[in-house]
Amino acid sequence: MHELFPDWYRVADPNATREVVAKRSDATDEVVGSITKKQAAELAGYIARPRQEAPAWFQKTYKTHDELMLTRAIDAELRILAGITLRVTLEPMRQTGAGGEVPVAAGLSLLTGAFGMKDEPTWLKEHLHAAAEGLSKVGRQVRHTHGPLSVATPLTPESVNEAFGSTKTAMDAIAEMNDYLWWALTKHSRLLTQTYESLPPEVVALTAPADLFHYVRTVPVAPETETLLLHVLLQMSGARETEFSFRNYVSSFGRERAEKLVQPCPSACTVLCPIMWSISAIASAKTWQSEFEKFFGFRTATKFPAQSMTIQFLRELCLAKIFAGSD
Amino acid sequence: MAPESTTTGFVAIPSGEALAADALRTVTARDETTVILLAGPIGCGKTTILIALYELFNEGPVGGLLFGGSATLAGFERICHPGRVTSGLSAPDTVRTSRSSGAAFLHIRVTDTSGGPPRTSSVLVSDVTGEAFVEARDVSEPTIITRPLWRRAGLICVVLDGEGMSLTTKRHSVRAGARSLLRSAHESNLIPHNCRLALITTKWDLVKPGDAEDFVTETESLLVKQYASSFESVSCHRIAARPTSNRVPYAYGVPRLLTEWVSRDRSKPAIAMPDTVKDSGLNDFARAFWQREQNSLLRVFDVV
Repeated sequence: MHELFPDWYRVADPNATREVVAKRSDATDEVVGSITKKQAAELAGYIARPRQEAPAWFQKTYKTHDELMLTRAIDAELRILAGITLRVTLEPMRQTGAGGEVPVAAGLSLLTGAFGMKDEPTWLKEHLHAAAEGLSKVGRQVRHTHGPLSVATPLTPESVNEAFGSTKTAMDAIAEMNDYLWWALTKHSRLLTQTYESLPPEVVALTAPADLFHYVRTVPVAPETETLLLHVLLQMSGARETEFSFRNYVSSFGRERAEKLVQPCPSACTVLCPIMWSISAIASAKTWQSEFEKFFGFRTATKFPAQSMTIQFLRELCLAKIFAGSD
Repeated sequence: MAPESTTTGFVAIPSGEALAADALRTVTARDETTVILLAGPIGCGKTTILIALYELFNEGPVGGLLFGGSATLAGFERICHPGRVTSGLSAPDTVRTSRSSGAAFLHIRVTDTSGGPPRTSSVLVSDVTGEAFVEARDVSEPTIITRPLWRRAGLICVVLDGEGMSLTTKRHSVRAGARSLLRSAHESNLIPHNCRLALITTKWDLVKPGDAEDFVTETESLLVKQYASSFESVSCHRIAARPTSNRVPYAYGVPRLLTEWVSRDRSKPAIAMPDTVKDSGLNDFARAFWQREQNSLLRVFDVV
């Protein structure tokens, strides 16, 4: 049992007995033991979107461990348990930087899902912090060379391959950082074939992450990549003060640009990717606002700073990359 | 198949009375719930705030929030009765909450329709005798509001008796009581890490402009200065739940208080700062960037 599990769970049941806490914890461990990246995204969608229903497989596991557990009117409890499940899933990543697709998907799903939440539950904040912390550690770890860069005698195929592997990791990291720096230096959108200075900041907020993402070789990105993205955005005059409604960002972007930028969003993470979803909608000239509000649970009139939009879009693109080919 | 209830011959019907601590799960498992501790000495006006709130909901939405139901309607009716004409009393009254009721909570479900799809949440507000907080002040392991309940609180409302604050002979003991309650709760580690604090001055209609009002302001600043760091946020409220003069309207300040009770933060994206890398130009860049943009970034992000 995670040492904080009782504290986390008692938000749902302030007077839970030790026995009940143990049952919930065992069920959580069982879910975590077999969770897939798709299920992690499903749980994040359930936490973030008010109209989503609890996944049946999730509820069933808890019921198996506690036959007396109620099955109705426990929506808040299941959301809290879903949050704990994702937290426990991403915990190794936060503690040691140990990666893996599932913890990374869990962390990114939590962060992208929380975007735009009107009323963030108080219990969610610490899980979001843990996700950001964990992803930054993994982002650094996967770009760090751990193995030897030279081969000792006598030569074995394994040692040669290991040295090649380490060299490749190091070269990829250097090449990726090099690409980022050239991109930051030129401040030019390869997708729109225009300089950022010729575009308004609300358009740069959505274009820059898509341009930068083109050079991302490994997901998740390192925190310095997010910092560089913010640096480029804030170089644009007026970007610091830009705070538009969601629909204004999307409508300023326009159909023509959206057609150039649109990327397929895998169905497993659609519910966590409001920006990708809306860009795709305007690229296909759909009326999108009322459907958006029903699906994502926040108004398109909600205002967001440009910095927040740009980081969210980069995270959505990373999440979509993890799920690419899952449809 | 016969209904489950007939096999035992009994059907459990909710009493509608205030919920005991062990029954809170019925609400907290169902809705996003804020557990609120109304803390203050006997007679400071804790129950009267709840009465005013319930009576306001009988008239319509409060603070833009719609009444979405309550599991403790009978409990509300019970405390409201002495304030109504049907009680036969010559003046509205509030019955003193008994110590034997233990830790009891009243429940209100509200629906916010102001942004996006309607969002429902609940508040569970303690209706506990002031003795419970005297106990919490004096002993490290309180028995009425127990440690798990303190640790579950999302909001602690410290109630200051406005009538006492307007009397030069009493005002310092009111202030000292609030300070020692907060100090004990802090020292006994009863305050959870993401808890908010609201300082509520009741009977505002009796606080005379001038000297008494200044004393209230001074008390609020003092408490904020000393205890703000132990809480996620602090707010101050002035309330006249059942005013005896025409100076302020009925339930003055109560709608704003309810809004505070159900308010949540808009989510700010969490973001991590780059780590230091030995002998790297990145360090200088990152340090300069985060220093230069600190104000703009902290406004937008939760920096981890």
